Amino acid sequence: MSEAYLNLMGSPYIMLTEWVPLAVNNVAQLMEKLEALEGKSCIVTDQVDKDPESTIFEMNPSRFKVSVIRYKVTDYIELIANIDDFTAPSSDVVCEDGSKEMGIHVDASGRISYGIRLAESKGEVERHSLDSVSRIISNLNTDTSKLMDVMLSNYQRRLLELIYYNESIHRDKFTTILASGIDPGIGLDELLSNPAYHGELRQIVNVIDEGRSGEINEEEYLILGTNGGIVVSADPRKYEKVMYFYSLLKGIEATQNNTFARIGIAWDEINGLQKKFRTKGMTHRDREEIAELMGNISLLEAILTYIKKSLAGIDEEMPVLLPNMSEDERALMDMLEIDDVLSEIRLRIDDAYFVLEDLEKEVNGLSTMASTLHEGELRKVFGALRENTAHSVAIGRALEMLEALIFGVYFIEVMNFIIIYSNGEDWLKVESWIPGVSRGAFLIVFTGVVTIYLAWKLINYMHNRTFEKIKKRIS
Amino acid sequence: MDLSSDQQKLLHLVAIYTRTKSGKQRWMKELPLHVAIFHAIRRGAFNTYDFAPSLITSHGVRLYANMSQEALHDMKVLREKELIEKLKLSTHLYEDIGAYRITRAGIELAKTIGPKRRKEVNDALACSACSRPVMFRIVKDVEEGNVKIRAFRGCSHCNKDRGDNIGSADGDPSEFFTIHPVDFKTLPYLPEATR
Ligand SMILES: [Zn+2]
Repeated sequence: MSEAYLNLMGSPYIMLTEWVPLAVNNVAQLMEKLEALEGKSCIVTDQVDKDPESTIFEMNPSRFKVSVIRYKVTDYIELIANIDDFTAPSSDVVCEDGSKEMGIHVDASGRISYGIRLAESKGEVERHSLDSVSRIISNLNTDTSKLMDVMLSNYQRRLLELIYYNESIHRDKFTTILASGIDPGIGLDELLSNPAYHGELRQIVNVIDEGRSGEINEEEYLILGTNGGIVVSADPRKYEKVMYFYSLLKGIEATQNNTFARIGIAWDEINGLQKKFRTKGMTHRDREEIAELMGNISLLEAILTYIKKSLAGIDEEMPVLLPNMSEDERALMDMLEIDDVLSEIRLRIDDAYFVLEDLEKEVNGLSTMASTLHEGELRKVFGALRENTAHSVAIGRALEMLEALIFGVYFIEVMNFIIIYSNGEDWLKVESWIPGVSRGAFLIVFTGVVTIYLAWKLINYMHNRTFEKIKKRIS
Repeated sequence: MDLSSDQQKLLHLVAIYTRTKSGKQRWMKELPLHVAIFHAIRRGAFNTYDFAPSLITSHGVRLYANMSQEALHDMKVLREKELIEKLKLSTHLYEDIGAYRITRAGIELAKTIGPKRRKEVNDALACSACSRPVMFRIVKDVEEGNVKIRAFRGCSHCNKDRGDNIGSADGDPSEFFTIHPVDFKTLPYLPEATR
């Protein structure tokens, strides 16, 4: 073994957190599904019964055992899951009494946390190598997604599949580790600067955020990354509340990012369809695609609404949470810059609504087209439309030129009036420096040309500005 | 472990359908299990069980079925003693259903059940041609715009025993969804509390 190995001391707590679009009804549904009122444990499976008429269901022995331990109908449900096919990757990791149990908390605003505590190892030295911990986490990541898949409603599953592009099993969850120590007991600076250690930490937290990582106080520190955080303290659980709160925000952020990415894809799909209609006309399949797009857009809107609701919940909680915090907790809150994270999420949500609105208009336009036109006709209509557009553009251009001319003539007229009423006629009649041409004639021609030129420039400038604006909106 | 005679028979019934030596797990779906119990009651296999109309859901349809409350209670008992376990799953039509299976402890206990009791259950569920346990299918039909849910008995081994004639005298499982009318007289009643 190389010396680079880092170990977590004692029995660290591992918490995975995610945010999924949920509402009060889903918690009630989940309770019913798990027979919470009966208070017995249930086995659940993600394998599907493809012959609902038959007597027997056969399945491979991979399954999850779930028991409800606490719930409040409109609020939350707490479960203990026994994951039978959960595979501990290395023999030095044994969970409590050899079983593999995990606590799950699902609340009505979509926050889900999955928690395990690594039990003390069999040997005398209580330590868990970061290497094996990272493998446990990656297993947990997939297992928890599978488990939630079984427990969520079809609608919720559909939402997740939409934003994770049918790969919702591999969606990331934010990892929090609360550990009493890291071995070898070197300073935080060396942990972060030594490339070998750095690499091991990255396995857990992904890209390390050096700005936000650091000492909470002399004895305790935080290592923060894009996908996780490790808090090291003699009493790490005192930071649980803050880390839970932060990880939920990260969960919302992750869902948000994926939702935005999905909105981007929807734009591409619309552009693709528009282009196709113009060149090839519309097929039956295209119409289905439009319908699907419309459905997806309303689902994306639903997700944004879920996020907004959850943010409103956080606004209610903050005033309760903050005054009860210890000095240490506040210090950690500050390090994590929780306020900034929160306001950024808020800003981006408002933004996304506008984009989605435009998207909706575009799709509605497409759909109107689809409902009025048939395949063959469409090509003809588009041909005519193209010609028509060319016509309109030509006519528009001519009108604009005329406008510039009229503007010039009008300007000369005004000037003429001014000069006449100020008795400047005599001055105008004098021959200019061009022989045979009077000053008046020269002035009229010169100012006329200049004003027409300026008017023309102005019209073009306005044209381009509008065009740029439209282009920006579309991209 | 103290199990009543009918509890033992119920455990044996679950064992018949779900006991396996290795490989894939076999789970008996909740509703077919109740059809089997109903079928066995009608054939006199249980001493204390009775049935009465209860609202259930099948293929997304809410309807009445002849469920045995005594059997439901005993299933809970067997579950508490961890002799059987329950699975929750979804069908490809997105319906959430339950299924039961005998546990290892259940298999051990089922071995101690007396041969007479076992035979009574076996006989009630046996195929008339090959005497292996029959299967039950619960089918959704649409007849003249009305949705019909029916239970059928059939042997998956010899394909000969087909109890699909509705309401036949030998206790056909299709009767499972037939609620027999009761003879009664009524007087009008208007609650005074509403005034
Ligand atoms: Zn047969």
